[in-house]
Amino acid sequence: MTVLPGETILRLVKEGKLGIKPFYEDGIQPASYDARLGTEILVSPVGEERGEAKDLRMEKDKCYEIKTGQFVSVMTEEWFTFPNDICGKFGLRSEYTRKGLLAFGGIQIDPGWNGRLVISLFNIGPEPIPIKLGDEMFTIEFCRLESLTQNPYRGRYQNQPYFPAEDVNFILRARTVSLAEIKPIGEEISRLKNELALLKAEISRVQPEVKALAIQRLPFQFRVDMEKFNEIKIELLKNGKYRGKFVAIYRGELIGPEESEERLNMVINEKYGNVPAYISKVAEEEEIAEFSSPELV
Amino acid sequence: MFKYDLKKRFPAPYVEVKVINPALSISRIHRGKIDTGADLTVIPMFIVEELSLPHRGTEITRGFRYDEMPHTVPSFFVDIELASYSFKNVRVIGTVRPDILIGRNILNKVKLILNGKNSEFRIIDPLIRTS
Repeated sequence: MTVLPGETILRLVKEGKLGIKPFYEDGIQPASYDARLGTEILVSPVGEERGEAKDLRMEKDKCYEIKTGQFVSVMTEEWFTFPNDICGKFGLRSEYTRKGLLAFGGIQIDPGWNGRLVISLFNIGPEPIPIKLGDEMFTIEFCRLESLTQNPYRGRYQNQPYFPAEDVNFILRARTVSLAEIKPIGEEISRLKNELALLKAEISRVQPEVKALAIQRLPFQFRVDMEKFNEIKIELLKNGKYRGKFVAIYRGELIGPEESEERLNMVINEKYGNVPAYISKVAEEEEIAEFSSPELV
Repeated sequence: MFKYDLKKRFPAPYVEVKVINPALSISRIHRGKIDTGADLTVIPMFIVEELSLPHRGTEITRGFRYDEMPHTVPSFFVDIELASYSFKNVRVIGTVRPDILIGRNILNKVKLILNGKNSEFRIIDPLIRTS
């Protein structure tokens, strides 16, 4: 099997033995032909954008930017007709590979192939890569077989004018997170972190107001007794008789101290009955009661 | 021996609890869940209202919440009876919830044996038996 030089490719096209339509003579290279980007592309979903089929003629400057991590299927503008003694291989021109665009190439084009070529592109580079309608993006290598094959290509992609239906469906229905979304996810986490920090700050800001509101909902006399306790707490702490013990305030009157709050509650019930009273330990800091068991509802 | 409530997605130890207002000697029987993660016992607010429990203090509480911010809530004193044991003048807090949470201010006074594998549990302490 030999690789055909540019002169041979040109001759075969002119003799009608190798079909390339439309044919651009300036696409002939020393040992290959540079094929051009066709009008239709299939783009995978990125972020909020859904996967879709695009017509580059409808895009601004007939151009599309393949985002980092994005998967795109494209077609050649040219329709190729391979004779039974020539096969081919396709690849991406280095101008694009240097930017990080990867083509799933190297797949052989069989003798007897008739149709446009579908090429899958993947941007593994750090920046979006623009592709434009008519760009000479692909290089096609032609090789002559030792002899004519008796079994030329007759597969399901023969004579394809457009992407196969399964390719279109795959792209349009794609729902998975692509590599292209890794950056947006990072940005989203960062945004949510900021939002959470703002919410926490807001909660801290309104916490005293909420506490004040909660206190306002308490019965008036109970609230007065609670405030009285807070007023005299420092004095009680200085007094060894009260420090670490339990006291109650009922209608401004100090009751206690007692060693236990249970005993103090009993005293209040016996002496005053079923009345509100503020019972507390005389301690520097109030302990926080934890309820650490989350419940499923 | 008590059985876990198997109707729960994750079966849990529930027991019948009698909540008593000691000053008025009125009571209410309700379902209580053993909750070793709760510092204090919690009763539903409707029981607070039904038993006319007077405010007897406040507690700073912190639950399993995303903000983990403490909240000040009123507290009450009740007598509690469960598993034929009695606990006098127990400080509880009231919240809007359907059942009672039996916290460690009660559980630390008993011997509690949880046998989750067999969905059963025992509460043992002969010193404070009610009858």
